[in-house]
Amino acid sequence: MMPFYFGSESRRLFGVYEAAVARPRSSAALICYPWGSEYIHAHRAMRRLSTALAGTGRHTLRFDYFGTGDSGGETSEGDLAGWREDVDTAFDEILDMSQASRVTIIGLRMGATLAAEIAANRGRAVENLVLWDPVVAGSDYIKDLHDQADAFVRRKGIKREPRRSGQGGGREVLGFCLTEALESEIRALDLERVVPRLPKRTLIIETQVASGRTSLDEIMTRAERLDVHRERMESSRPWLEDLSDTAGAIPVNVIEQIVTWCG
Amino acid sequence: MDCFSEQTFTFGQDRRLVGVVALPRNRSDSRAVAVVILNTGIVHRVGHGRMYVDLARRLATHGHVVLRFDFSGLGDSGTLSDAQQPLEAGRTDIREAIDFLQAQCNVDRVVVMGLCSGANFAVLYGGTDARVDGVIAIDPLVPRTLRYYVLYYTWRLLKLSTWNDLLAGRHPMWTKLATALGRPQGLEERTPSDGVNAEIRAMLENAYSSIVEAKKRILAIYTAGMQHQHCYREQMLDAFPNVQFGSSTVIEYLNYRDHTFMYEESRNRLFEIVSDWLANSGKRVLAGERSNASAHSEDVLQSRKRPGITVQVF
Repeated sequence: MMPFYFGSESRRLFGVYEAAVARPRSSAALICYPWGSEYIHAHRAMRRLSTALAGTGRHTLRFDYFGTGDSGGETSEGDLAGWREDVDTAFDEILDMSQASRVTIIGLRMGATLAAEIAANRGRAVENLVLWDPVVAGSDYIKDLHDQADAFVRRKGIKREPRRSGQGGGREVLGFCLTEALESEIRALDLERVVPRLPKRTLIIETQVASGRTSLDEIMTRAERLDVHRERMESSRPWLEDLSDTAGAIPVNVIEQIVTWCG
Repeated sequence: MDCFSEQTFTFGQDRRLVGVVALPRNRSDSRAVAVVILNTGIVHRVGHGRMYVDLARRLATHGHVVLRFDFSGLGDSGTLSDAQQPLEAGRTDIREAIDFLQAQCNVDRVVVMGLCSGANFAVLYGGTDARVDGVIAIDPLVPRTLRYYVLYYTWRLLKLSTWNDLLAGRHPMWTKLATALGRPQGLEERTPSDGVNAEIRAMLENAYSSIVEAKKRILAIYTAGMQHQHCYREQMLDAFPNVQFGSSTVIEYLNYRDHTFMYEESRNRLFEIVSDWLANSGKRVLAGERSNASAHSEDVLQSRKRPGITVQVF
């Protein structure tokens, strides 16, 4: 396992590279994390996934977007446009480091939606795409985040104050600032827009029925993408806090499914 | 340009430990103590709400070298090759982290800091290594005391929700009553347990004694987010009456009901307290300055009238 920084001086990204343990394949793997508290809780599951992929012969890179985790930048500097560039940068980095010709991209939650957007633009360089409980519609996701944050403050008996406009405004969501600009960008996220251009080898893992208005079934039907492989699985959700552990659980069955499907 | 730089390292036996060091660009103040930040529970070195990244950067801006790293088996770190018990493994990890800082960053004095389980590790390790100058323990484990129970239950009785729960049949008292009457239990038992057994209490007491006897400094920060375990500022003193806490110990009680510092306001307050305390960490406490046991609480409990900090009043 090799932690390192990559990217540019003004946009330093922290990544962890895991070299393939088995005989290296021609395809490497790139893992895209979720955002906010979902990232904190899911980190252990993402590491386990990375190790499992390395165990089957894929050089693997997982990384923190700018303004998140160990990467450079203040938390309030995070923006979706920049994170799209970060995924692109990481894609090139894993190609360069591994000398592989193709990349399997795996994303969880918002990371899945970003992964889908990048995969749609990268054409044949993408061998497989795995979307693990992707954010289907940004507006539903934002509502969900605020609902969770409101539930947290109700439980704690504290007030949820708006952030100062001089600091980007918006509100805090479970320890992370969701500035007005970021919220606006996330609201515009729409998986449906990229569904027609998803790679042939795409797997969507669904461990929860989306609570929002936008149904994945409708999107796939409308886009006539019934060829996309979908797996509905009973599983714990690694991006949510397991109160006894103060971090997310590791859903071994989902990780096994992903590794098996990727081949 | 930032006043700090960050580098990532692997270190320790088999280079299994992963950490990030925040380095001041200008280390002109050689007295500035280095800081080692430990994991909170099993959350990786970034911390809840990315609090340790922000804290490390701010402290580096003030001239401190700061290492955030993952214990063996947590975050990105590998596991220890030999089968050590978790407590022993944690001690090995902290020792190796300080060895690394000493060798790599020319550091000779460190403060070990942690929240919750990280605080317990900091306390248990602090007195065992001469290179440790002080300990910052945020919400460390503290046994409940008689005064705790009086305050806690008085507070519960004064809460409207307690009476609402009683009237609605949701209060744990009904469960207890149902059990006593031999009826099936319908509700979860919610009464706090005693928490700290005699062995752990003795271990903590010895650890605190080792720290203060070695004339090291302690900054203990308690939040109102752990009222099932502690609920007043002096609880640590009452819980460990045999420890000669003196003026080398500072106790802060934050009135935030937020154990993991989920809000910028509480994180900023924490950063301020830690920075202030570290700024004075060059001063060693002389034996003559330390007070005796009977007077210690006067020394320690200098009430600081700052926003967000109060002695908890119910």
